[in-house]
Amino acid sequence: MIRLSAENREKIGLEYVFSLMYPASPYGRAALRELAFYEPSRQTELEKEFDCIAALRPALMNGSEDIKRLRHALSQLRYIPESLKKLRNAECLETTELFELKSLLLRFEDIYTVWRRLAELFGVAGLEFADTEAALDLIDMDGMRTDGFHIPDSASAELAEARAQKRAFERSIAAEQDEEAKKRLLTERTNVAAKEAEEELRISRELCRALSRFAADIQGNTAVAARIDLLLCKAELAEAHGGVRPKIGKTRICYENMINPHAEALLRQHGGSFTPLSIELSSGATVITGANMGGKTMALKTAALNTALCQLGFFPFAERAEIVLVDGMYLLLDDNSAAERGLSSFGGEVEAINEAVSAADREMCFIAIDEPARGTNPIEGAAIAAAVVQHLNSQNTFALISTHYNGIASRAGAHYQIAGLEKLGIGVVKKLSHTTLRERVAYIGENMDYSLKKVEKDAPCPHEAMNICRMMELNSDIIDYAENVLTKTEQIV
Amino acid sequence: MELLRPLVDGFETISITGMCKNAGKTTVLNTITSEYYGSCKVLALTSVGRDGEALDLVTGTYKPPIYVEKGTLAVTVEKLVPFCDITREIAEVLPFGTPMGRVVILRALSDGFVQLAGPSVTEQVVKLKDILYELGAEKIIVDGAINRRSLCSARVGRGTILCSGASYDRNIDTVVRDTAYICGVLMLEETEKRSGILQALQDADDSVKAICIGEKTAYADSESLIKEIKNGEPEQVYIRGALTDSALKPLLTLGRRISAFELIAEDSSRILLSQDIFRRWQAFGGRIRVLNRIELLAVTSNPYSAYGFHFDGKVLAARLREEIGVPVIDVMEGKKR
Repeated sequence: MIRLSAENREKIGLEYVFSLMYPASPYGRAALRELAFYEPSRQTELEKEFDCIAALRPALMNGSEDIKRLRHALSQLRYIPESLKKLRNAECLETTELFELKSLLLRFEDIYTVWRRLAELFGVAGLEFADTEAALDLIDMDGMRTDGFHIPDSASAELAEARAQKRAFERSIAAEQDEEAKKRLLTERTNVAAKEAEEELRISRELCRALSRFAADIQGNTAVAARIDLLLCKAELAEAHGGVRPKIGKTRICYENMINPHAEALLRQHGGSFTPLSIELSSGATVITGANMGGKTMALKTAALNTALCQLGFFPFAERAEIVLVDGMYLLLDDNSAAERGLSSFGGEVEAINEAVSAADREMCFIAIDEPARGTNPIEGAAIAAAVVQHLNSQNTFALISTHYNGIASRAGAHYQIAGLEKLGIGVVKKLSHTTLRERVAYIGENMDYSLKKVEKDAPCPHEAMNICRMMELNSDIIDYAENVLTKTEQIV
Repeated sequence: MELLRPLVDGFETISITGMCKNAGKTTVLNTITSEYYGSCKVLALTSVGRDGEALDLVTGTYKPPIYVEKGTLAVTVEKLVPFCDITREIAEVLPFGTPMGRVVILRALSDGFVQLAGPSVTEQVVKLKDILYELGAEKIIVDGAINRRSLCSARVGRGTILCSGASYDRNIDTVVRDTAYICGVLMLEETEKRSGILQALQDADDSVKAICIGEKTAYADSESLIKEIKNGEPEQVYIRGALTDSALKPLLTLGRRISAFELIAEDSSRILLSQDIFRRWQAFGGRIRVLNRIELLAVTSNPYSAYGFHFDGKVLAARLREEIGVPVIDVMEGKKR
């Protein structure tokens, strides 16, 4: 079963995507809070969900009047799950609950009509409402289809009689001048009012018994309304942020020019833009290497976000997408959570890796690990990272691992690199020699190429750290010495 | 004889405010509804808040019931619906929660008794009023909570009736003095330069506590206000939120300078000053105005106290009349006649 912690949902930008959705109905809002992943066994259902989004997308543009009407009606739905539960158990509802039920049934009548038209026009299949007009006929006792709820005199002869008596008293009370006589009349009226209340209660009970056989249908209709509501949001998201229907296959997870709306929004605030990323994961391990600040973590998060979205029945944000449905998702995006659980960061990391690895032994998983073993000493760390990659690469699972360490990628199925500062070349150091620190930092930011490119498995990690040190004019003795050490270390490895 | 209808007829919304509990608000409400009986005007009745003390623990009911005419809209809460013996239509159920369930609007399909209870948050009362109008209300009467003058806010009701009486104090002098003071506050004049303040309010963020308006507009918090007044020589000083003793005391150190500007509160309900400070302010020539005026329509005097003593009704009414420039009505006396 796929489970994502609230922390991971936040980190990969999934919560942000949810925050962009505005379900019109309270049922849609409730369903959004309880959104479940489509596991591989529900592939057919997921395909249907995608069919619906694809069908509704043009409806947003071309059926705008009906969509508006539909959303308005959805927004008017009363949220009465408790009353519906009571009704299902044939319990008697309060009159206020009957009012709400009537209102719900009235709004559903509007929704059925608009939805039938939209569904037919845009070819949306599999989302049908049960007909509940018979229930509305029962609860709308005088057949006026007004918004209020009351039990009319015609409901029973006894009720009509009690009310007639009460009215007679009321007329007498209004005409009576003597306070004492008025008091007597009021008392008598109260007795008749009690009779009326009793009869109303009997009628309500009978009504609820009759309505109870529609309870399941009405509950079902609220679920359909919730689905339609969320489908509209999903279609709208796809339209607004460039979603694409993913192909569900068996062999690879592949995104062409995918984006992460959360990161995009943050970058935009600072005048930047998100560089679309393309990546293809085959079964086994895929490694990403690249410069500091180059966006390795962002690549992991974006792949994780879009994979999660696909399995939640959303279109991923990419130009093209192909996915494999997985049984589990494991995201190790940094070690903060370990500290909260009271373990040392390394201990926590080991525990989390172990959990992911043992899951990968059992089932098809999507695993993203951001720089495994980064916190420990580099020799051991590199060895551990290499081993994790090697192990995961032999599994029938999709693992995406970022690392700083050299020589890890050769053990993976594929190796991607962040383009980084490579296009700048060595001449840039001279160019920057008379600029301020702030200008240099900005320059580095502007010239960082965040795109991913596939490289040879044994391609060395780029020495971007050294480049950055040079651009920042770190003491030249230190740079020379570091170069020296680097050459020797590489020989050792 | 009609006592109250002529006074309230011109107002779409009327609030009834009590100097204390048992001041006779329910009597006033029942008087109004009976004076409108048969008039074909759709009255809507609501009550502000739920006063713990008003809950009758013996019967479990909320307040003395109100007798309404067929057609009236009555606002209550879910748990009190069964205590209303009118033949009724549930006209609306609002999402405003109270300890006694959500707020419910009933339409009376017969005459009968209702138990009123409604929201007390000003925003909710304002929303409720809109819905009542949509449902056809022609006149809304808000039964204000006891001892909570804040609830006669201008946004709730433009016209108000103040209920005073023997239940307020054993000493008739205290009743008269305090009632007159509250009337004075309720009758404060509206500032003549509303638009400047409304404009300035639009640009004010939440941290702004006061706005000084003169040649230029300056925003101040409680610390910087005195400096602003000294330097800026404003013509108007608008105080946001409640106008309290602690807010005004430091300004009194400005002495005669306070006569140079109008001190403005949003409405009378925001003025929570003690009589002492209010008088000292006036003694220095200070003027207090409101942004939104509440119309004080009448004061009702109830000589009977719930605590077993009573005043001479004629004396109480006469003494109140001497001090107060609006009609003073002894509702009980009217009843006897």
